[in-house]
Amino acid sequence: MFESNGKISLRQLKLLVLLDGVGTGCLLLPTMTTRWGKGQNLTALLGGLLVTGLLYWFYMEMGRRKGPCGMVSKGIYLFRFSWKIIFLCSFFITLLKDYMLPKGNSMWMMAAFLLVVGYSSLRGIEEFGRLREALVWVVLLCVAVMLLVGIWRINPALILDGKSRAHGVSDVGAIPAFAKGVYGAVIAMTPLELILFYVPHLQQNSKEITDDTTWWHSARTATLRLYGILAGILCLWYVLTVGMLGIRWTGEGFGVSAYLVEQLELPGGLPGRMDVFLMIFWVVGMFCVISSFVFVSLMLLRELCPMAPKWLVLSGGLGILGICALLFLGEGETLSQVFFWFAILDVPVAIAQAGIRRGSHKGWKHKGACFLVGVLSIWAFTGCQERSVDIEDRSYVQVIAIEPFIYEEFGDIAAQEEVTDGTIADYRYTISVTNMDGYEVGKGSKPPSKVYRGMARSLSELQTCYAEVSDKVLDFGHVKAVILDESYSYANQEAKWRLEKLLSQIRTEHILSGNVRVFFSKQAGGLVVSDGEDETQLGERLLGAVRHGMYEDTTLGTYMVAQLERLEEPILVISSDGGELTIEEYVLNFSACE
Amino acid sequence: MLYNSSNELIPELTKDIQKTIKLLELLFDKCDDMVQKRIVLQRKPGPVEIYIIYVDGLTDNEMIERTVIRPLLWEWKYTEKEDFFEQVFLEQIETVDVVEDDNLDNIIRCMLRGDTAIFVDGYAKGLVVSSKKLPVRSVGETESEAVMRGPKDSFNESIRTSTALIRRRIRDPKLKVEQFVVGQRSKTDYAVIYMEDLAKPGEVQAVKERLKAFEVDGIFDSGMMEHLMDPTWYSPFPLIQSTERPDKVASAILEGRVAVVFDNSPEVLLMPATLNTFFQASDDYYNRWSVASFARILRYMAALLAIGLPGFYVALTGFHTQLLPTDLVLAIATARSAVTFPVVVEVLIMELEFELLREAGIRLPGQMGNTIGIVGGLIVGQAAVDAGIVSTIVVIVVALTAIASFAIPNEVFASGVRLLKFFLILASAFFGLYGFLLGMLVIGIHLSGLVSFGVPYLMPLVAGTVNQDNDQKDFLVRLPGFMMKKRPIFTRPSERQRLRRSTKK
Repeated sequence: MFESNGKISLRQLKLLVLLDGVGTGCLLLPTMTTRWGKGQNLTALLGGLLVTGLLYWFYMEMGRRKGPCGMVSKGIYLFRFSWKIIFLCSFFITLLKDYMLPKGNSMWMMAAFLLVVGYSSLRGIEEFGRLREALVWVVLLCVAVMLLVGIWRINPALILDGKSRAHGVSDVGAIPAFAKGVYGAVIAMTPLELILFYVPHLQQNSKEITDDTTWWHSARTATLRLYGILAGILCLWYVLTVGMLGIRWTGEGFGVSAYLVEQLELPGGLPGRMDVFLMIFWVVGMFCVISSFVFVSLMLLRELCPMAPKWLVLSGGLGILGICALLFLGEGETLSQVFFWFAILDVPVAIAQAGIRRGSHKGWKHKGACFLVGVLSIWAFTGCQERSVDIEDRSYVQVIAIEPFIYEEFGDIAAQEEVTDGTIADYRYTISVTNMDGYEVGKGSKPPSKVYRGMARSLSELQTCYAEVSDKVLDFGHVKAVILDESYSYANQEAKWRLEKLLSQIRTEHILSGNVRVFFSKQAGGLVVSDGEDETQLGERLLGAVRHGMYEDTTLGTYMVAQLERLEEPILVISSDGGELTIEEYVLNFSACE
Repeated sequence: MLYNSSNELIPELTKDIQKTIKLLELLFDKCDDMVQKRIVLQRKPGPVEIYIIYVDGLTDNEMIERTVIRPLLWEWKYTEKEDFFEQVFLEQIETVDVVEDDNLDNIIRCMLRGDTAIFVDGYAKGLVVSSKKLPVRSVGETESEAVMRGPKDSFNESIRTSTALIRRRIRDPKLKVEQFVVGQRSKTDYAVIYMEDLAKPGEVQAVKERLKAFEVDGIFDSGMMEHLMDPTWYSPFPLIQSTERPDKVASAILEGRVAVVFDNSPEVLLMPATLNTFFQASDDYYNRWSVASFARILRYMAALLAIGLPGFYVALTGFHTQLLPTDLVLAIATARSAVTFPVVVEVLIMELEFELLREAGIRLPGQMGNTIGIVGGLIVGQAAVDAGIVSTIVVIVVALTAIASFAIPNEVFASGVRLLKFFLILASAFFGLYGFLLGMLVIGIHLSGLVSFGVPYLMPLVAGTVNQDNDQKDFLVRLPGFMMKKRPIFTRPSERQRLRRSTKK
């Protein structure tokens, strides 16, 4: 029989570290390394992994030799881990807020997440280890799918980065790059320190380890092997990210993985966006890392102060009351950052602590009530259930034409009509949406579409405008093409500035998928309006343009990357007939096709 | 005061048979199913009275007539032996299965099980003749665990038939059948069955302790004891496997697991149980390995569908339509355009209707059950679609979920899965795929915390190395028989070898 002795096997320890490493490494390593390493990115990466490997080995040895830390060290580590939990939570909130659908109240979505983290972290180390053994397959499957799908789209030139340096990315030199790369990698591999607290729980299993000497030998071999696997996965991930996005774009921000995933598409294009894999990977990866930190922190907290968990529950209860009061008074948005972090971290864990703590079954009604209060409050305040829009209550946008709105052209009277909310709109959007009225499936025809034109500063604002004329909600998840006005492709500085502004606007909204194809036209809106008028469908005309060599596989995502990567060059370089043409020439070509 | 607080009889047997008879008559007052007979036999010091008592209906009357009454009444030989009790016991009663007992409570308990009690004047002890002939159905075909290939017999409500069906398959003296009684009033017999050399001693002891941990009025099915023994009462997942297939029990016993057979129950309990054991069907081992492996993978996929498909559908249609191909989105939207309710309500209505049909189908007799299926599935389903209560897509989703749940070989486990599907539907309705994932994580955390008699529930997905990954050979894929040389984790470590090349010529 297995003994419930609070011990984990070497395999479980390995998987704990592997998942923690993959969880943070895949999200942070490319960004941190390229941000700090700049032109010498490969030096930075290799140096970083080498040093983190040594660090890994050092932590293993320290954990084995020194055993449990002293009280002061524990206090320092508790503080450090708490800080890391906040850092990772803020990072995860950014991901939730920006990329994850539905775009509900991300704070409360985070609270739901932390409730699950609390549920997991308050269990014993054995359950903790077992869960990692089960989850490792999920994470590795997601990583493998992304690598398999994306590996074919890697551009080696972007990894080697010759062009990047030639176009304004300063070369910091090998030694500073090495140092900074090490710094980046160490931050990315931040959960390594947890080994110190896992090792004392290691079961000296007779099957794996026979005596102390072989135990160390076995642990060292296994550790090095594990680090090899981890480093291999992270290197592949790095190559994938930088190979598709380039160094400069990779170093832009934490949301790199989201842009990376937007470049990927499963064969057959069934999931137009890889939100599912992204979500699984993020949620499971971040769950593993954050719950590891919370687990160890709670362990330290109990050792430092046995009464602390009770205080945690008490403060959690007060936190719930405080949040409820503030929300009731309509002051929810003005919560201070300190109170917010206190609440967001403490409340869910405290609820889990009170509600799901193992042991006796005494007071289970009280615990159940605590848990119910937590779940109901999250349900009530998240607002996610209100974000659900049934599938038939949506208008599916097929094509978007975006044109600049030039105030002077319309004159004073016309301009007043074109203005929304008393402010001048920046863009004129023309969208073709499906009209489901009277449409029957299976007749072999595409559903009829209708055109809506509106002035707005952003796609979100366009959704608001559309709500005034329709009871349906615009759904941009099935957009097939974005047609930009020709003026965005001009080579002058103003056009470039406007294009950059437009693309940044689209990027920050996270409404349009990066897989949408981009076209240019003199009369972008007119194309959409005239769809089907002369028996020629818009899709056929766009496909015709592709057949005429208009462009090859240029999507909004790749276009954004190209745009921001190489501002100094002509924006879109497309091969045709063996030569290279600028976008201006293609616009002419496109016009000729029309 | 005849009974103590544990419902045990306080008075003891005396040598005066008149007192015993009075006591028994008092005990069985208003029990018209008792058959009592007084016989006076002649012997040298003087006649002696014998009192025979048994329960009508539970006892084989003919056998009693033949082996007890006739020898005593018609074949009685005048004796001068001093030990009259021994003469009756050894010479006159013509059956082997007879024991003497001086505990009245035990004798009465045996009598109520169908044995016949004989009391002799002048002796403070009695004889118990095994004469059970309980009203049981014959060994029939299994209904809930049917297989295409393999034995068709199943356990019935008689503990003796059940143990016999196991013993018939394992003719080894190391197969131990330890019998006990549970239930202060029902006095239900149960037997703990295990291989002496294969089962881990600690595990057998733990099973026995759990079985004796409660004092209960009555146990009328193994399910009642299963729930009492289960420490994780809040979990929808069973930690004890139940089966009505003797071959499955025999196979489990040979893997070192412990079986508990209850009288009056056709379901035998198997301990420990892991998630994987609920996906193993008997015919996996009778079919070719490739076919069995395919079926096993299919079952795991079916479980995932049964637990997650409706929730996933709610998440996709309510939040993440971009994950579906445009044509499919339009098809679903068109199908739903006439439906009044939101997706989540629509799914809940259909799921509840399905559960209702299932429940009604079980309660009704065979033919009526089929009718309910047709009426509910076809007529009501079609009418609900026509009336705009649900859409055709939801009917497909719910039907697929139902089919998937029926593919899980164990009904108790499938019921747990069916329950959790509602949890995921609600989680998905609130948070979309994010909620679906959090819900799955909660289920995963819960599963990782479950332990059945010391064995992690997720074994061999977790802790597989403990048995050198041998359990993996019978997990998602069932490897060919010759490769499964080692017994699984349930067996004591020194006895894991189960297959080797024969050296006999």
